[in-house]
Amino acid sequence: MTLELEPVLLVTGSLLLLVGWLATYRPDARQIGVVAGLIVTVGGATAWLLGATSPVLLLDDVSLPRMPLIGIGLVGIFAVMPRRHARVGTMAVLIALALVDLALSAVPSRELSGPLWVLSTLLTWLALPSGPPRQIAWPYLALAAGTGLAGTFLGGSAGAGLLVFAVVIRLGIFPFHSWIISAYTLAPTTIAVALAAPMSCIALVARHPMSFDVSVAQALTAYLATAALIGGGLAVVQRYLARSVAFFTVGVQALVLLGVLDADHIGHLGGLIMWTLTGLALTGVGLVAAALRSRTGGIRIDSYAGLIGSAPTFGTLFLLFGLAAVGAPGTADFASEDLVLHGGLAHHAGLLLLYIAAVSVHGYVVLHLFYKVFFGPPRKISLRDALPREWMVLVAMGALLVLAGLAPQLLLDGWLPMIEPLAVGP
Amino acid sequence: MTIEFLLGLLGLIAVFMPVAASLVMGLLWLFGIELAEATIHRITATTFSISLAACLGILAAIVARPGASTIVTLAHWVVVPSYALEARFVFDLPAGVLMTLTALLCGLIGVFSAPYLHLDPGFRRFFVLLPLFAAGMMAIAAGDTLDLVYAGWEVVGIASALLIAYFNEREAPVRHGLRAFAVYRVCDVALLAAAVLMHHHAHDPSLGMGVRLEGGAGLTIALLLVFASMGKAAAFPFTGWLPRAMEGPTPSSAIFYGALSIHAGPFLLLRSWPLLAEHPIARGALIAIGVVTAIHATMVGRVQTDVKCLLGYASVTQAAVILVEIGLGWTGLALAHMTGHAILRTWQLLRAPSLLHDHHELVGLIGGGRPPRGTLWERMLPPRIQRWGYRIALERWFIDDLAANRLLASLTALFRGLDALDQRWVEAISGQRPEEVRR
Amino acid sequence: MSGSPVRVQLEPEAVLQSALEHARHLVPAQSPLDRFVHHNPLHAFEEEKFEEAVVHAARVYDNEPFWSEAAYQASYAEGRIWDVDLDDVLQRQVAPGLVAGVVERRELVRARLLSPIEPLSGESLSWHLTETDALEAARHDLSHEARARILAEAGGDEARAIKQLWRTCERFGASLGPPASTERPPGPRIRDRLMRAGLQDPDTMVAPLLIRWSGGFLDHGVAYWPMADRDLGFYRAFLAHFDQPLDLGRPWLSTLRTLVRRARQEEWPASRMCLHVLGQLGHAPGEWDAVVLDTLLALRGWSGMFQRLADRPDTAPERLDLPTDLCDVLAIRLALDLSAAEWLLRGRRGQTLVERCSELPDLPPEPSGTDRVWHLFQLAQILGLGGLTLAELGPARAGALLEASEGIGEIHRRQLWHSAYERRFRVEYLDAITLHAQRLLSEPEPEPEVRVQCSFCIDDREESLRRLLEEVAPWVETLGIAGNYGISMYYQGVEHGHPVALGPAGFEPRHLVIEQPVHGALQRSRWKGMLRHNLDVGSQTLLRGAMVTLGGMFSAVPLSLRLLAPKIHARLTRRDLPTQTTLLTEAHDDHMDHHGLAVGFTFEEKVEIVRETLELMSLVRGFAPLVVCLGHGSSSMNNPHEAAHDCGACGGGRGGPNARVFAKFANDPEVRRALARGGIHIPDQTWFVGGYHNTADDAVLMFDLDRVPAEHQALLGEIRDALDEARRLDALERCRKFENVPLDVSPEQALEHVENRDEDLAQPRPEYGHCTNALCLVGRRAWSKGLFLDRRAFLCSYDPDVDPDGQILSRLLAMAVPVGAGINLEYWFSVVDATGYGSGTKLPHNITGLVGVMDGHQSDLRTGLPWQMVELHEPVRLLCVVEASPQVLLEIASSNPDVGRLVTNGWVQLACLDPETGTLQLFDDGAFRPWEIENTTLPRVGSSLEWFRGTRGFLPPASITSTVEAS
Repeated sequence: MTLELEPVLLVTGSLLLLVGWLATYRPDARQIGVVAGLIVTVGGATAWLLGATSPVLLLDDVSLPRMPLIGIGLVGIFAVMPRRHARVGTMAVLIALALVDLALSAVPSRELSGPLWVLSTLLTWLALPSGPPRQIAWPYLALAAGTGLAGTFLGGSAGAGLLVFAVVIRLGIFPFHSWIISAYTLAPTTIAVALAAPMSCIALVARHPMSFDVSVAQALTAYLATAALIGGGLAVVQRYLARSVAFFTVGVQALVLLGVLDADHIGHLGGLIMWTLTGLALTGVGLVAAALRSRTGGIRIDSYAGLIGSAPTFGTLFLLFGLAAVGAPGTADFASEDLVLHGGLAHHAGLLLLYIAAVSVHGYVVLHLFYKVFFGPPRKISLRDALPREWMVLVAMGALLVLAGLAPQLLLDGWLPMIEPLAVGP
Repeated sequence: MTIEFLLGLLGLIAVFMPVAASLVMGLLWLFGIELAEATIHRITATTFSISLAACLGILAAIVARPGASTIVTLAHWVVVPSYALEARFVFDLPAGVLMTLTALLCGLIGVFSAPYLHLDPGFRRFFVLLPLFAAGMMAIAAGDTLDLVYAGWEVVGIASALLIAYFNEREAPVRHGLRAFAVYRVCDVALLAAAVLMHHHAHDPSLGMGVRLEGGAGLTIALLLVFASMGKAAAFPFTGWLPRAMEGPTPSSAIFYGALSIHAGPFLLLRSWPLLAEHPIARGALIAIGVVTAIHATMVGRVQTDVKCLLGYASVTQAAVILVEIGLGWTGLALAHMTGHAILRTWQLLRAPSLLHDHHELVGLIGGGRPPRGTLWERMLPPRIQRWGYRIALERWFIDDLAANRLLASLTALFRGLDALDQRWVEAISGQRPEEVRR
Repeated sequence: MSGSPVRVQLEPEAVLQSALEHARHLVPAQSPLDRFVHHNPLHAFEEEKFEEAVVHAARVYDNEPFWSEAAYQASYAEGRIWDVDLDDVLQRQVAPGLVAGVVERRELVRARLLSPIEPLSGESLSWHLTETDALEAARHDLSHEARARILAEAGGDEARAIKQLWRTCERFGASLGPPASTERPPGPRIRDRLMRAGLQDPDTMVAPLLIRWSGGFLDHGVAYWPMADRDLGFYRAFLAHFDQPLDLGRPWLSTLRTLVRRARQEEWPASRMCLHVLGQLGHAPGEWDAVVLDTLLALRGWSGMFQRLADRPDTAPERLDLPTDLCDVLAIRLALDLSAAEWLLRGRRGQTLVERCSELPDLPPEPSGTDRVWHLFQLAQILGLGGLTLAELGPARAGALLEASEGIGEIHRRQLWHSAYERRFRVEYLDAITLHAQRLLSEPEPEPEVRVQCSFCIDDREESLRRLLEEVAPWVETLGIAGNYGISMYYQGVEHGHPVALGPAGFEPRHLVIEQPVHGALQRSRWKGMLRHNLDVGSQTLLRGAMVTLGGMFSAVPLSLRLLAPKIHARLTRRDLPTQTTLLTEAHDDHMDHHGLAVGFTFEEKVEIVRETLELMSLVRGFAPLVVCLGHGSSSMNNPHEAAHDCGACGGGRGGPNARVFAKFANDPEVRRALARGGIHIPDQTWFVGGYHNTADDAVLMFDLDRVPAEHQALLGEIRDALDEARRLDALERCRKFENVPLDVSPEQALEHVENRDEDLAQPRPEYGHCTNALCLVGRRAWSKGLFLDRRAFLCSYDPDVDPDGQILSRLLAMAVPVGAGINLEYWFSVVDATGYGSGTKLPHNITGLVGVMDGHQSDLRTGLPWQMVELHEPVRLLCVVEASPQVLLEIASSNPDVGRLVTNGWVQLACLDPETGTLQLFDDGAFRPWEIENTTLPRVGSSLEWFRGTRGFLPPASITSTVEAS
């Protein structure tokens, strides 16, 4: 059974109107956000499961599965965001950004993605609070917007290179990390998570495997793996949780991008799955860090913070999300990581080792952070564990990741039809 | 009903009992549902009894029909064109032995721990991690593809790290848990790489069928496997984590570092013996590592003054001897040695808190006086050398200090420098230090 | 002690020695594990008043002085603290008066006790205010009136009332100023200075090394290679080992190496090293006391063990006679501290360490404490002050109110809570004793004929067995006496390899008693021992190990058996010991063993022992035909603290042999004749039997039964049956506290359970030891007979009629009070701060050097009791109730400083019982004051069983009126 997109849009639109009316009744901006996120989730899931089609947008297995997951992420972000950061303006920008990014993954042609890309970077800039976070971010974002736009017009391998470069900057992969890292600490962490963790910007390069020269591709792989390695290393030496999580996030993102860019169709497929699921896991990690930070004003991790006694739920979830983000067995990314490994990387032992080392370091970082934050002599501070709304959405996210890990083929079946034409090659 | 079918059926039962138990208990834990201690105990005991019965069935079948083995493809975990990640198991003699050991020892430890950890705040956590660990060991024992072995390997690693940090209110267990995990990660790189390369070079490799690969690729994989096994086996120079892992409650120390997880490394090599056999260089490296580790561990073990470290080093010594045995190709002996060592060491570690009791009994038996101690070296070596040797042994050959104060210190300094650079750069643009500000 | 040869340095040397002397008293004085004896962990503070001492000691040791507030609040919720207790405590300890003109000070304190204010400030406060309903709803625990008053101010609109209150508080906020700092003053060591500057903790570098070397030095037989040069003392042995080439990967030790070389060349004694390093660290002699103490307390367990072995080398598990001196430890530790500090401060400006230290920054402390606006907001709610009322008060009076509330500090609140907690216990038990006594006076029960007298140790664990035995067999009179039966000896049983000390912990015994088989010489299974030893050691080595472990599969049998059927395994592996044995107790003038011990006792000593012991249990007349004397001990598996369950009066030994020796002496006709000359006439038909009660598996063993005259055999059979019945019931009563035993087991099953428990390798709680001990009754058994005391009371027999001048009582109290207080206070502190004074959970305990336990792989030696031993304990100070007049007691307290100090400074509570009226007087604030009872009734039950059946937790006292039918 297939479903036209238009009725879905109609329902979604009327739901949004309803939310608008609700907003006038009880003006807590977060409620708008949560409802909007729910609409994206439900709408996206319906569209994906029923196989929606659209005359305008390219609704396929690259764009559709992301919709519900981005939606859940939004719900999580607004459920965790403290009231004092939840201004209607910010809310609107974040929702718009999510929608634009989703559109970016569904545009049928490169020419159209250019303006969307610029809009997305602009919205990213707008979402950041004024002051230092914007001051640091604007040169990076301007550069990303420019190279991205140029890349869409240029075409060919030079254009592809520019696109990759734009994505690298927008993601904040080493050495272009400073703006997003400081956003995690200088801006409200929830907003930084919304900007960084879902990695929607990868849409710009995700449509097809990138075909570079072998040497260029290898250099790119080496660069991304090294950047990931450095990101992991930097995460270990940090003194504050939010900053460390930021480095962890960009480190993992480099590995995801590496998979997505893989010319080998297996690797590319692994990359696509990782892109979606790791985005969810990283959102989870970031949200737990954000929740702890808004409750305490910042967690120092140069000694053990000992929070497990006061926040056991957050502890369990942090570990779960962290392990899911690095593809531990039993979580969603184990399979996709395996696919990436067996893709292009398998052909080059050196790169393979580098990549695995980076994965391994991030695996260590997860336990390192978990231990530093939650273990150690119990701190005598007053800390509330997850509120019911936070518990609901975070546990749902965690359960989804475990489910996808136990039966990855369920997800994969959706993706396969897109890959099969590519696999017919030699 | 053929013997192959029987083996497969029993094997799957044995493997999936702990998997199911850990999954059920883990999910209940995640959703905050608290079972009564007695219920948990019953679930654990039932799980491992069934699993053990199945394992014994396997062994019986193999005794009845020597050389019997079967390969079961349970499910295609991930299938894409030209590649499949399969949940494929092999049930043969080595798998049967390690599975039996796992089920027996985990079951006994379960029985032991129910009263031992009674009323402890970590009771439920322990009984989630114990079947999880057992599930990991089963995957290592019966995994036919290296990918599956790797999955088990990882699970064992995470479960170990969490059990070392079981008493998470003190700093030392937490620190040592992290340290063990770091060593695991370093060596896991090699296993994962070996798994990928094996897949790449020998299409659809099956450990049960005996993968053989000649040439450079084969040697690389063999060396990677040797390296991978060093972490879990606490081989030199990775020995330091093992005594430090004695932070958890006694039963977890017994099962992890005395019995099962320390043998995961040797078992991996035993499993991939056909590959190893082709590459004398890898075997040579293995023997060298084994010999150095054995000398190191026995020397350091001799000066340990606390019972758990003493037993920890004793375990490493024997694990190293097993590595040498494998290197020499005495795989049957290695398997027997592994079995005997695992059971004996568990027994000794569980009795460790009875040391005083046993000491008094011993003194009573020998009729007074101090039980004799090592005097060979005292008679042979001049005092100066003795003191020197004693210090080197007590300081564990300085390897931990070298790792911490040289290797880790320089890495940390490097990343701290990079971090400082980043902070200065951000400060230059925005005028604000990007370290956490309170807001 | 190493004295400095240099005259000029005499003065600093003296300062150092006095600092060391100070520290010697304060390091933990716990003996090696197999001589574990309960003692007051705060023995050094006994000169101070209890309440002050615990706070003072908590500061010195960085421990907790009382339970946490939450624990007391939970007790309050469970009904273990009543409102009347709080009333009484507030009445006594809080001055009356009106605070800020609105609230009675006592009401304010009560409100602060009952309604905790969450300590929020800064970021966590603002999160709390926006994300919870703190600004929309009143506190949920408000009293009805308080809530009504607050709501009334906003016409019943809760949200508005609370917002209004918050706004008022905020308005006052500006004038309130910042809260007072609650930071602890910084410590005196260089490590504290470095930590304040945010540098690495040098202790993380120093401690592992020092622990390894201390462990090596103090090892009494674990390591295969012992450390060399131990006869030189720790300091010199350490120097000898470190004055060697080759040291890799430890750049931070470079200063130490220089120091070691210099100290070896110039032959510095340890004190010279201390002085040198103290100078280098820039400590003025005035600080040395504090620096030396803190340095030694950094690894207090190890320091304490060095000191303990110096004080009492006889407590070492093997007689190694290691020269242990605290000064050695200090010298090494200081040198290591210096070395670590030099390394951490490398590359900083300044020539000397002191200069570089002075350049260090001071990190701002982490924000802590409670925001004052928030505090006021919460306080106003608790007191029922709404926004308008508060506004009317004005900022000045509101500020005064807030200050008064902040003045009720956490420690103060906990101290008040504790007073209330102890008061509840006092009321419960003193009332019960009074009511029970009055019942006895008003309705005296007929005295049954006494056919057997049975004496037990005063130990609280014997209370239940005595009570149950009396219920089962009314013809038995039970007596309580310190379980060593007046004997202090080294004893070598047939199962022992060398003599063990059995006697009060304070002195080293000077006599030796040897057990020998009656038939033939003792067959030692030396080959068995050596085989076991060689297998054990062999399994740990390289080549032998390979062979031993190859055969390790066979250990699956004992492993499974021990875990699944502990009793069967125990029976199979039990040593085959001769059943008929005799004791060598006769002294020979020329017979001294090689440790200078006299073998056996002389006739005079025997007479003295028997006379003294009989007097102490007030058994000088009315002897029954059979007198059974039971010692006690406890056996358990997998329990490093096994000795802590043994008899305290035997110095952590098993007191069976003492009872046996005593019975042997008391049966000696010669001795009896001598006693008769002193006025104690033991009838010829009276026979003494020694025995042993194992408090873990409730077994009762009797010795030398073959020598019991034939005419006593029937009676002996009866008492054995009665004891069997009693111990079954005792096992049942004990089982009610074991949470994993169902409540409906039969006495037989209960006995079976404790027998298994005792042999169970996996059982960390073989018994609950002295848990819940709280009372000490000294007097005739009549007063406590038939009173259900729930194993909480030490019971000493004492008959004031035979002791008109209080001489016996004085000796009795001199023994019982310190022992009881030691046990009680060790439990008190171990439960109040389970990881500071106690040794934490025993699950990761790791025996080291045969002397102590560490946590896990490496840690300080843990002192105090493990959590599993004390988890059920209720921390109340020992309440001694003595059947004597106040004058006699005051005299004893003043003439005996050990007892007097404990009583007058409040380490034990003291009450006296007037036998004529059955009323009590409680010693309080320097004088005895009549005890006024609050409860007017005491529950009456038919039997103990009826009272405790089906219950787990605390059971109040009850009066038992008739006996249970023996089934």
